[in-house]
Amino acid sequence: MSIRILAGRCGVALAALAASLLPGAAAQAEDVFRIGGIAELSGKYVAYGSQVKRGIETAIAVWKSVRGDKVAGRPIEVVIRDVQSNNSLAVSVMNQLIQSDKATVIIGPGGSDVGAAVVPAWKKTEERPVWLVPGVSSTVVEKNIGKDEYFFHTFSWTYDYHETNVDMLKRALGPDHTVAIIYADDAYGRAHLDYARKYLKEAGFKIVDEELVRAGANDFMPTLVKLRAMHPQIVYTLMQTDDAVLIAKQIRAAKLDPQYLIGTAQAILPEWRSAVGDIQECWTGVATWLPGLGYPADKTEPKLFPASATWETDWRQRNQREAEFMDAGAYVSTMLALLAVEKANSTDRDKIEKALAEGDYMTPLGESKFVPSELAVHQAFSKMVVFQLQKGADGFKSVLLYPADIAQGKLQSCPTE
Amino acid sequence: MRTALWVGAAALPIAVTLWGPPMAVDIAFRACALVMLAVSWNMMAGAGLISLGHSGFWGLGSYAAILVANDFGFPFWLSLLPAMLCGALVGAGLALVTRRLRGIYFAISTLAMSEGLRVIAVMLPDLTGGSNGVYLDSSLSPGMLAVELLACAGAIGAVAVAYAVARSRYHFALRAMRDNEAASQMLGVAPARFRLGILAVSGAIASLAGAINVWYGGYLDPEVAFDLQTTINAQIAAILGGIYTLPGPVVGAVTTIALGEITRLLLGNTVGGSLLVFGLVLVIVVLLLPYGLWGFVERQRRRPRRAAARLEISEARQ
Amino acid sequence: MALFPQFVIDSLLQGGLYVLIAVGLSLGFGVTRIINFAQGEFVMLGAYGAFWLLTLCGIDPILAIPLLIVAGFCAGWLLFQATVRRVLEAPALNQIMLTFGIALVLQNLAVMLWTGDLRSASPAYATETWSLGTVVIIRGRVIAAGVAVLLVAAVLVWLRLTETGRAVRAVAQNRDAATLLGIDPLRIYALSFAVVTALGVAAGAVVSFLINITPFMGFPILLKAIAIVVLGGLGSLAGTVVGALVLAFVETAVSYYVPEGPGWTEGIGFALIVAILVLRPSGIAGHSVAA
Repeated sequence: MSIRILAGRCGVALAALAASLLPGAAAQAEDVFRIGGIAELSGKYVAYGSQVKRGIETAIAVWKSVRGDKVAGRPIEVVIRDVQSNNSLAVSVMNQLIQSDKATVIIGPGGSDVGAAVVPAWKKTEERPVWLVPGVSSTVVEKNIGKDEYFFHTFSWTYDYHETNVDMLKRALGPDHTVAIIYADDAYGRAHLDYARKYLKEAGFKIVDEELVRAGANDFMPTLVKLRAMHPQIVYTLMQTDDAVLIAKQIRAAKLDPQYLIGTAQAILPEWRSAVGDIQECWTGVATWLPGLGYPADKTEPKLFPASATWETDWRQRNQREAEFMDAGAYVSTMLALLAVEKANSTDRDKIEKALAEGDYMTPLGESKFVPSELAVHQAFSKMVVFQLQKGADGFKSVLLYPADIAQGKLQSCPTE
Repeated sequence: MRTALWVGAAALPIAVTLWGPPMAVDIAFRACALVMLAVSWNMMAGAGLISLGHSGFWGLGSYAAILVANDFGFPFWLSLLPAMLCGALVGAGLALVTRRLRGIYFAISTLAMSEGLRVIAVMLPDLTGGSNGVYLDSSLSPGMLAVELLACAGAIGAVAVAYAVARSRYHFALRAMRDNEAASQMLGVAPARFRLGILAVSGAIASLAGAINVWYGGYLDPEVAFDLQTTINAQIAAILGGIYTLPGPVVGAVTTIALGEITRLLLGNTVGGSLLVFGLVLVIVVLLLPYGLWGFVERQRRRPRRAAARLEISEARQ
Repeated sequence: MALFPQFVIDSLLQGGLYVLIAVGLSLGFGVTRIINFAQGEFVMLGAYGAFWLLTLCGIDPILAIPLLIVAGFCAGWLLFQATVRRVLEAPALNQIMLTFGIALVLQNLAVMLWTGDLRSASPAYATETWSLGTVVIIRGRVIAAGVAVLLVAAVLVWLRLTETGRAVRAVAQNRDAATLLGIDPLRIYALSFAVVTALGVAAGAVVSFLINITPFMGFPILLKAIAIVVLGGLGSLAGTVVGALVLAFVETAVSYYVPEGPGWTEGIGFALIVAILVLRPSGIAGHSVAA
């Protein structure tokens, strides 16, 4: 009797094993264009991962409506796997996408954390597929990827944020201003700190104070009170969304009264803006994309890369929500991959790599040409834009400040209490 | 009969690693790592010591291995020794510091240990790379096959150690400690010494698992190293399989991994879906299978089926 | 030293917040010995409840508290009857695993219903301040501390002066004796559990305007509450209050006066736990350590 139960239990385990092998068994040498999506669909980075998924799916839907169900005569398949914001699982998923699912290209993830964890798994495979990453800003990753030609970064690196931000400040204000940096003690804050410091110093700004706040804390008053004594003119914040919400509220409560409030990505996020309400006024942000950039349609592919306003409206209709920056990044990455396969007329990775490297389209994210970055080979969309939330007729508008050719307004100082 | 089953169970992961498709190898690796963790956790639980901070040992072993490899060029095999040593030392330290604590108090101390280690890892970036994380120098890698086979060996070794402990004199002392530490002391058992021993051994095994894993993954940061999920997985595996038994952690580890894969396959596309199911399964298992899978099997074997109904209820009450 | 008055105020207010999140756990574990690892999730649900009531119906979080307390009580009662009741006799382990499972389920239900995006309730008093010279006092925090005081007082009154409260204490002290006195322990446990979840939900309503609301906010709160309850001593509400203040003062002191202090504050809670458990396991005011 016990033998039967034991056999039953073993059977369950083996069946499970078999079940997870089946997709692999099916995905043997067919000529299919298979996109392997690696995304954080649950756990703490779900906000990013869901954008990656949406971007990929929307791009495929648009492609199918314009070109039909195939690319270069090959059927299109998508498999997006959830890594549950868990690094060990992410490694397994990367292995699975490469070895079992035999993905032609891999797209994702959104966050630097998961991105960093899966690099070794991807790199160690000889026959690794082309990998497009519409997120992940960590330069630790850039260093580890190095000159790998199958890696295509469609997002900015950490230093891009600050090169852009500081250049904007220098042109708008001139360098003789005092700056206080507030940074979180997580990977984000510390990574950004080095570059913020570097560019601010190079531009000639005087850094009067650098204060650390604990990521995830609920009380930043000790830090802000210490900062207040320095009377900085510019407050430069380096932290993720949740800390950015509290810092904004508590800066107001502590009556810090700086002239300028500089943020990184928080000012672009609808969740930050609705969480802080009126306090969002005069915060600046820097991003790869935000609504209203006003890029024109691509000349050769106007249906796949329409003008910004058209793309945003179309997105809203398809997804019942406003697009965000990683939605745009994943959309563009997927479309570029599809176009590369079509141009190369092949699912061979070297041919795809070549087609991608040669492509140059005007996308909703801007010009898509891939150039070398500081350490990596294929980098696109490192040109970022800076904007400020200014009070408008009804509510707050994102006013583009930089670069000069698309600027819609000037940097305003914050209202004093 | 039993021996045949054990030999089969030991041979299975090795066979899969050598000849299976890549996905199966990955599953086998994770299952072996989880077996080590679950056996280690179960060993402590067997002595009445509930660990809520097992991720502390895992992370400690991972960091020890990656740091000696990167900073001193230790090859794979050699790096595992400092990892186990750290685990044993921290386990022993924990035993000394908590010698008068039992039950939930001990559990909270283990949690404090794990969280404390995480904060240290974050706040000392010069040593550990801090929140940015650190990559294992890939030139030192001995190839994935070696790492995977060692995981199998580790799992087999862990079970062997657990078996040795269960068969030794210590077993009765530990069992007595679990049930009533004061009484066991009166009977001449020295709880402190046994606690030290069991924590050192458990710690070493858990740290070894973490060290092997870091060679597999190649990247480490404090969040990953000391992730609570590691502890939860170890506990689920041990409880699901059957706590206080020898095959329990093994059965539980395999089932947990299988369960994770199935829920991810079926629900991976729904945001939040897979973790939700995991939680539901946990609740259902605790409510309906308190002795775990193996415990259930054992109890079925031990009593005649007829009178089982009435007896079972009173058994459950114990 | 110019920062000293601000430091004292901040510590007191932080202590108030800590009392709020720990009172439920203190009552739950200290009195009924039920280990509830889902307590953080109840705080999370209370926070979401307050947020939605504010956003959709315009009800101020503080005014929403009575409503949420009732909802939390009912939910807790039902949850107890459905699940926790069956593991009362089981090893502590099973309670931990069960409530962990419940926590995972609640957390991911929240993700599915409300997405992982963070929310923040922003009634005016959340950022309005009073100023005493150079010292800035956030009104919202004072209100939180006030609510904490009220809740603790209410619980104490309930435990000491009402019949059900005394029954709860009786069952906690000696279950079998209480049964002999005609008290039904199962009902009392259900009642206590429901009160504990209600307290958690109330705490959630208050923190909704002080910290960010996400589906994942529960666990860090639970860890903090555990630290406070251990520090103060299990089984003693007065001890929990003292523990909360001690932790708040030590953490804030490190934040203010130690370089890179804020980074170490998380570890302080745990260092204190270890110190207490080693030196004086019963905590500042608790009962002696039982197996």
